Amino acid sequence: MQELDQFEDDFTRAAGPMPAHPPLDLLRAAGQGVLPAATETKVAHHLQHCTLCTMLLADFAQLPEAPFTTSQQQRIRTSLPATPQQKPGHTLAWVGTIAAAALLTASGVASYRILHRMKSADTAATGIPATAPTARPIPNVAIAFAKLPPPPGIAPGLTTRGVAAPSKEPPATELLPAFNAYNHSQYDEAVRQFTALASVYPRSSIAPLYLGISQLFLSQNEDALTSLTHATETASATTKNPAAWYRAVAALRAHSHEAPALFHALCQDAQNPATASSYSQQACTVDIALNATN
Amino acid sequence: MNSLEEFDDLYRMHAAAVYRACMRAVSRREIAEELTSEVFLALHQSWHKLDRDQLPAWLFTVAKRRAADYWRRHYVEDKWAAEFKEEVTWQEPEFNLELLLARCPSLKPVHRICVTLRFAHGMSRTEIAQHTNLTELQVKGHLQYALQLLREQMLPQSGNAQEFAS
Repeated sequence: MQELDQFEDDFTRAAGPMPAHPPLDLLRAAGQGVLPAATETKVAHHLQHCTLCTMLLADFAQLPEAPFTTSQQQRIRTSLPATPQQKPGHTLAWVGTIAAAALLTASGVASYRILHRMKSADTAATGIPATAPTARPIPNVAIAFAKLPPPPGIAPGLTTRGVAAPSKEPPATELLPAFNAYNHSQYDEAVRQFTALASVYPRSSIAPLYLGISQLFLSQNEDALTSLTHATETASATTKNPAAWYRAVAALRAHSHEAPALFHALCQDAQNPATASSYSQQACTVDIALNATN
Repeated sequence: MNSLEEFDDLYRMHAAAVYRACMRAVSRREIAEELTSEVFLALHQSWHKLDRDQLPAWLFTVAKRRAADYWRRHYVEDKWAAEFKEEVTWQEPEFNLELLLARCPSLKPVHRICVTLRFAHGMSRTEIAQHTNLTELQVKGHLQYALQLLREQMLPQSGNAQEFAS
């Protein structure tokens, strides 16, 4: 490696400074009709004059395309609203029309039944949901969820104008780096940024919500549950439903006893047209699926 | 065949092609996965009103729209603007890389890609590996081989140095 480093240093010294080129992903996207018009024009102009970039694209065209692996296929499939591994004759309704749905694995069904019965018994006896972790069976339940888009008015990476943030929320200039990381699926960085924002703005509803979602994507489920519980406490009218949904998801993924109650409570909102939302419908999907196994 | 089986069949049949289309549009694996997921979510949402004859073209149209959304929403225009300004103050390289590369016919596309990404785009070997589906070890090998040839072209005694100087 040292020899190559030396080679590279020698070459860089000998070749001198190189001109700037558009980023590779922009170059490769050019001509497909997916870039904003102004960007497309700039890249096309560059390609007209830069033989190096033209050669690069031609060379890339000769490389084999990225394989689509089985794990990728499965990962994407589990983010979709139906489970391909259902028991015959036990088709779950495709109630949820967006984002996510629950996936109960066969092995999870039995353990969930135990959990659900315990919860029901405790609730009936005390009138409040059970939270004590005594002899807690951990259900093997997997749930898929979609990425929540940034709140309206936040256009990360594009502009910092026009965001009317309430005083308890961080200003757009401080939110943008966090949302840039979030939008680029750089969840480690997003967690770092949102954590910092949440500590500076303890009454923010946005920071703990997106912190929790980022943690979910990193499978930091316990941390996500803590963040999202906080997010439900500071929630505004616009973040109330997503905060409740993602909290329930985090609770289920963290095998928390409160998960069934959270889904059920959110599902109750679907009964009332004033409170019904896509989240409450999704919660009902989960609730129905869980109850169907009971 | 019920709806679920039909949906799964369609997913199995077209997911790879949709993913590859997304990869071509965004060049980033994790984003391409998200876009593919969104395409099939859209299929799920439109399930009951979509004419099956429109498939798979409908999937690729949605993929393209989602990719365009990605670029519109997520691309940092300011970054590109800054880089474009740099281009205005273009500094001519001492050696013209494309000419050097053209003078080495034994270099394969993959060698040229590694060299260009390393020296013209300033990528690390790890980044090159991610963009080319190569291992870092392979990238290192390609760079080593290519640099040996390029260095020969740059040596003054080879008589090429003056020729390649811009």
